[in-house]
This record gives sequence, structure tokens and C-alpha cells, in this order.
Amino acid sequence: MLTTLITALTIFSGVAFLPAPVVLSTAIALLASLTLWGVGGSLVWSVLVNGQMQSAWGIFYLDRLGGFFLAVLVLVGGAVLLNVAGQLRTAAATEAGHDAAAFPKRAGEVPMSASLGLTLLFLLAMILGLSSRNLGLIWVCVEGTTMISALLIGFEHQRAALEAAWKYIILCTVGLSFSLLGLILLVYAAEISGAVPTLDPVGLAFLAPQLPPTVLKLAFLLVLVGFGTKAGFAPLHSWLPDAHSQAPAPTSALLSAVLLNCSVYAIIRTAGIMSAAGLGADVRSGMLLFGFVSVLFAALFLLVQHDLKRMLAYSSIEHIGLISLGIGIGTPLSIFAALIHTVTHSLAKALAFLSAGEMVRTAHSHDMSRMLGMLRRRPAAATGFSLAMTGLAGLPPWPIFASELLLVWAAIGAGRLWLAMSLLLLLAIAFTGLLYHTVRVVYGDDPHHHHHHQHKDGLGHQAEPEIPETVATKRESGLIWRDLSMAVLALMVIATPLLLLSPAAETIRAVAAVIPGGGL
Amino acid sequence: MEYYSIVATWMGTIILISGFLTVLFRRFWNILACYRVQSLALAIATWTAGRMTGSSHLEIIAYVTLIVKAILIPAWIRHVLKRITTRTEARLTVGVAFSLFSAAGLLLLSHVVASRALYGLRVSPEALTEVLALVLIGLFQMMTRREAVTQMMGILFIENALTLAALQLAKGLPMIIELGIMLDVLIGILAMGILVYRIQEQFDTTDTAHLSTLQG
Repeated sequence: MLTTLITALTIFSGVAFLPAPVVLSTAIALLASLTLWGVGGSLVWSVLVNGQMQSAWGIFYLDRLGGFFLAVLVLVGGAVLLNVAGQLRTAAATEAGHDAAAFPKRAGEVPMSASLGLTLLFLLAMILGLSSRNLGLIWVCVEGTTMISALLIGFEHQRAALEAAWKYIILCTVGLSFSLLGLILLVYAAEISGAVPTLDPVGLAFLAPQLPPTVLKLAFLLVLVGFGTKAGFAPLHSWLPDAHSQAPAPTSALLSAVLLNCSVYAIIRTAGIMSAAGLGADVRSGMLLFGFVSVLFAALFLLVQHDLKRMLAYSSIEHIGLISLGIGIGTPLSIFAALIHTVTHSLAKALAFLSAGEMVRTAHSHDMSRMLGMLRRRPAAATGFSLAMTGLAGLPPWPIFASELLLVWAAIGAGRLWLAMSLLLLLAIAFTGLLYHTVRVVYGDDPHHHHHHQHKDGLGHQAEPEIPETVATKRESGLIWRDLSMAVLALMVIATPLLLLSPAAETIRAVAAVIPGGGL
Repeated sequence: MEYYSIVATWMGTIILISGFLTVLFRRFWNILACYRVQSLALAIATWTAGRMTGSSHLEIIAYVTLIVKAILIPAWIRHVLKRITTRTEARLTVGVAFSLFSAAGLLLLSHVVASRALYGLRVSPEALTEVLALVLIGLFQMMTRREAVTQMMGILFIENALTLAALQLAKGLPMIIELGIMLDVLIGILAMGILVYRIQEQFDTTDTAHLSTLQG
């Protein structure tokens, strides 16, 4: 099944790059989405529920941990592809109707369908990364995502987007070079201790007790800093708010909801080797430090944001920090909480970015003070957005509430009282910030909006340009796809409390057992 | 055998020196020439290592290195440089003397880190020192020159240092990973070149000091 998934997505991405009418692009996006859900879904089902290892071509394999992260990718990826289909249809309709205000026409000669091809390649690289049984190959795939997603961020040629794409590609490439050096040092450690050099995380974990600890420590430091840059750990996060806020909505969703997880996955894999060498304490302190600093930075910056998508980006840093803390505390309870957190954050954040994209489109601005009262102006998006934000802030019915409490509880249980106390405070700050901004954007009263309407009605200066009927229909069809993608994600978010109930919770506990410290 | 190890030593020296020289230059063409020389030396070092150990995989990697790093990438950078004709040299944010001292300091730092990491093991820290120094010097080069093109070249120098690490420390990574890394570099440099074009188009400059609208 792994081979089918990889082959199908490779073919789809190849075809998507060919210049083709928008009908064909939509069809490819739909097919890819169904493949991802169908084939990918049954693949992760067999890995997670039946505990079957899956392998392909001798270099790819999936165990429970990889299957878990792949499951998140499959769920989010399918919905995002539906959204891309909608974006393509709308863009095609807009180009036909010259409605420059709704969607600025791009200057470049690159066909819009290339964004679908790049999105598919992006997904493919992450799937390959999550299913490689080789740290070097994981690195190659994660670095590959940097290039592909940088092009997606800079796709619209706007100044701010180009600036964001440049910072992203430079900082992440430099960061990741450090982690490649770290991986080479792992091989070096095996080399100088006379063992067979390998980059297989399982094989290295087996060798670990006889490897020199000083070299291992240096290697892990480099790996942590490198993949940590890509995961957006503060203070290495400076590229993240720019990139995640300037990217087109589907790309933002993938960057925040899936790519950050892939980097955490690479760190967890390396951490397994360290723990096997008896250096678990070093791993834990590194993860705790980065996790805490990330939550601290993010909670404070969340409060003062004006830009909707930047606020969401800081929220991603907060949640990645919490996940890192869960792994850093290193008890079965905290790792269980971190995994619950990973799924719920990804689903809710993808929904948040897609609906934020719709709201930005309606308001023609990223500025939250210009998008007040969205419930009236774009009800579907505002509903999805408030659902996502209550999930992200951790209001009681949603599992993030439970996982945050479990994290604090686990911190107390591990004797880290100061951490638990300051975490509670920071979580309260982040909670307030997120909900304050959400309520303002969703329910706020927008004086500009009324004024604008009166002005238009009174003087008739800014009457809407006449839109031909065919264009209007096409735009409608784009809207339907985009709304559908949000609806699917909303259903998934609504279903997340089920994760805490027996069969799902048991499965996640089995995944936690693979992570150092997570086994009972 | 003797002959090969002499060549390997010389190539190691050339790689280190060409890395060092980049902190002195500010003209794009000089830095590009350094890169070309370094890549060539890297290819020769890989080839001799392949001959010494009798591994055909290293020889193949050497040919790929030669084609990608000594020919294709420099050609692409030439192409990018010709399209952004506004300037031919980077603004240095620090003086040449300071750069030279810093590079020496970074070499010393690398030596300290490498010897501490390898303390008590019967391994010479030279190879690790060289790699760490080259990575740090590449980083320093990127931080002191704000031009987009020199940042791009800084990444190339860091990547060369990693290839050297893979060769000298890991005795060559598996073929698929070496080729994967090479492919990443190639795609990365293409993507960066495209971004540089667009930045030039939109900002009328490639000085990254002007890329500062996104804050907070």
C-alpha cells in the first residue's frame, strides 16, 4: 500500500505540472485527495490498529510512530487538496473576469496549476520522510520540503511573500545543514568505535551503548538545533511567523499542521538513539528548554498581534513548544498528552488557516481590526474559525484542554513544580490572547463596514463591476470546494474528543511506547 | 597508495584555504571562483578516496560532484548574476582584518570543540576541526554580507563542508543519500535563484537589508 500511495502521488504531481484546463487540475486534486484518504487511510489503519509493519523497496518502512504522524498528514492533506482545487477554480474564474480586487492577477508566466503540482510534491516529500528507515533519507526529504514550500510561499510574487520565502529558505537550509552534520557525526561515532556505520535509527539505537557519548552529545545538539529551526522552536523561530502568514492559505495549513510535526518526528527518532545510549537526560533537558522558551515567546507575542495569520503562526510555535515539553518531561503520561496534542493541534490549525484565508479574502486584509464582525460577512468561514480557535485555545470539550492539563499534571508528577506553575500562567495568557482576538474578529462590530456600505449606496462610486454569469458560476464552484474542505476539517475537529476514549486512546498509548520514556 | 594519500592531503588543504579566502572577498566573481576551486578539490578528494578504498560508489559520487558542483551550479549562479546587473560586489558589514581574525577564531573554536568531543578516543581531531571550521566560516560569511547572492553562496560553502564531512568522517554515506543531498542542493539553488530574480524584480535590489517589512 505504501508503494501504491507513493507511486500514485508521484504520477499526480507530475501530471499537475503540465499546463491544463482548470477542470483537469480540479480532477487531479480530487483524485489525489481521495487517494490520500483511501490508500493512505487504510495504510495508517493497518499500521496503527493492527500493528503491522509496512515496507517498500527496502528503504521505506512504517512502524507505529511513523504511522501516527502519517495519519495526521493523511487527514489534513486530503482536506487541504480539496481547498487547493477550490483556490484553482476561483483563480481561473477571477482571471477570466479580471476581478483584480478579489484576487490580484499574477505577473509571472507560471501557470496556476503549478501550485497544485508543488503542493503534491510537498506532501510526497513529507510522506517519504515519515516512512524512511534512514535518518539521512528523512533529512533529504525534510530539506526537500524547504525548497518546495519556499516556492509555494513566494508563488504570488508579492513583496512581503518574497521576503518571507527568502528568509525561510535561507534560515531553514542553514539550520538543517547543522542537523545533517549531526547525522554524519552519528555515522562517525559508529565508525570510530569499530561498528558497522549506519543511519538506520533502529540499528543505531542497538549500537548506541558502545558509541562514544561525547560525540553522540555533539551530534544530538546539532540535530536538535537543525530540526528545531525547522520545527519553529524559539528562539530559532524568526522565519516562522513570516512564512506561515505570507503563504497562500492551503500552504500555511500544510506548513503549520504537518511540516512542523515532521521535524519533531526526526528529533524523536534521534532521541531514541540517545536514550538507548543512556543519554536520555540530555535529550529531556534540551527538549524542555526549547519547549519552554517557545511557549514563553509565543504566549507573549500572541497577545500583541494585529495580523490574523501571524497570530495563528505564533499559536503554532506555542503548540510545538507544548509538544516538545511533553516529550521533554518524558513520562508515559506526558508523552501521551504530547501525541493527543499533536493530532488536535494539526486538525484545528489546518481549519484555522483555511478559514482565516477565507476571511482575509473577504476583508482584503490580514489586519484583524479590518475584519471585525466576520460572522455577518462570511458566516461559514467565521464558524469554522471559531470552532478551530476554541479547539486551539483549549476550551473544555476539546482534547487540547485535556492534554494541557495532563501536561501540567505530568510536570508536577515528574517533580518539576516550577515548570508546572509557569506553564499554567503562560497557558492562561495564550488562552486569553487567542480568545480575545477570536471574539473580536468573529463578533466584533465593524464601523468601517457600515460606513463603506452607506458611502457606496449614497454615491454609487464603488459599485461592484458587472460579472459575467459563467464567471460567477465558476467562482461559485470554487467557493463550494473551499467550503467543503473547511466542513470536512470541522467534522474532524468535532470528532477529536473521541481520541480520549478507549480504542483510540489505547492506540495512541501504543504509539507513545515507541518514544523514549513513553512505555509503561 | 602513497601518491593517492598525498593528493588527498593537498585537496583537504585547498578546500580549507578556499573556504578561508571567501571571508576576504566581496566581489561575487571571486567568491564564485573560490567555490569552483573548492568543488573541484572536493571531487578530486572523493575520487582519490574511492581509488584508495577501491569503492566504485565513491568514484561515481566524485563524477556527480564534478558535474553538479563544479559545472552546473556555478553556471546557474553566473546566469543569475548576469540577470541582476545592479551590482557586482557585496557590502561588507565588517572590515577585512576583523573577518580574518574571526575566521582564525572560528578555527580555534572548532579545534576546541572537536578535541573535547573526541577526548579520550584514539582519533585525531583534525578532520572534525576542518569540517566544523568550514561550516562556521560559511555561516560567518553569510552573516557579514547582506546580498542575497552571497547568502546563496554561503549555503553552498556550508554544503561543501558537509560533503567533506560525509567523505572524511563517515567514509561516504549510502549512495541514495549522497545523491539525495546533491539533488536537494541543486533544487535549492534553482529555487533560490528564482527567488533572487523575483526579489530583484519587486525590490530593484538584492540587498537583503531591504527585506525588512515583516517584523514582530
